[in-house]
Amino acid sequence: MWNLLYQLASPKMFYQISGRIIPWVASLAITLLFIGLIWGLFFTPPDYQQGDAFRIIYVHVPSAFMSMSIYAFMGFLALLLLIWRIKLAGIILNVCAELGAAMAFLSLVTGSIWGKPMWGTWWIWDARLTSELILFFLYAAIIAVGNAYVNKEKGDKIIAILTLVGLVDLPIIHYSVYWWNTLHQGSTLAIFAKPKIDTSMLYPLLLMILGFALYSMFTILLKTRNELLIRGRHQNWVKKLVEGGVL
Amino acid sequence: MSGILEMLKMGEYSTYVWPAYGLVITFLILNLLNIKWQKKRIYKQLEQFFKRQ
Repeated sequence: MWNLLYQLASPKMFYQISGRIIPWVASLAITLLFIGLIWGLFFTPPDYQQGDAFRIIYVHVPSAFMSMSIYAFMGFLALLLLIWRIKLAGIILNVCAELGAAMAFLSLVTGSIWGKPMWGTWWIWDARLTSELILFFLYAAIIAVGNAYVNKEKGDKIIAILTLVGLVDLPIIHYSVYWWNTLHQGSTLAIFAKPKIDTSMLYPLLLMILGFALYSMFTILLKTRNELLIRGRHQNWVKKLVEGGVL
Repeated sequence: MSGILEMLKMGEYSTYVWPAYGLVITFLILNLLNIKWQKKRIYKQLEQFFKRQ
């Protein structure tokens, strides 16, 4: 297990293996997103209270879910970097922060668009919205700190520590709707409880969440490969790839 | 035809539903294009880098 992990941690090996995985992940992500979007937009019944406005759930929930999942994954990467000194984890950490920030932004904006017709306001300092906004600021801080360092390896360690500190925001976001009296509705999905929405609305939502997860994996792999080429420009395997024209 | 128009109206919420979807789809596409353009830039930079060596 550890041997496999260390092999994968080699930039050259990661570049080769990711190159083989990417086409499969990309095809599956695009297929799921396409089916989920069409199903959610045109083939699910309108909600009995929210009417067709509820369809925003199919872009809002997946982006919110990914904003939190990517951060949790970054926590794991931070541990890999700080404890096992796997440098590749630091590179992926930077890549994840950019995508995570975008997902948090999308979650906030689509939530705001959904909030206007349902709550009568674009924004309210509700516990769920505020804690998600803090997550967005955490991502922004991680990106800013990472970019501020000329020595990228040192910058990676600093953002790994910052990531671990920020992990405290994840349970706050998740439990905010239970701990405080919020305008935001409770969780639609839970691992150990029956979903609160009808299956006709649930299946496209699950497809969209899986599609977003695969899309995130796909773009993280692509961007990590780009970063590996920049940081590994003094290494022989990168030289061979460029001269062979097989990037 | 009227059925399609009715679907596009999204009840009375088309001004909210379509911008939300538009924003997300635009991001998903632009993000991918950006990575593709970044790869092209890196490839050119690396070619020049190795020529100088």
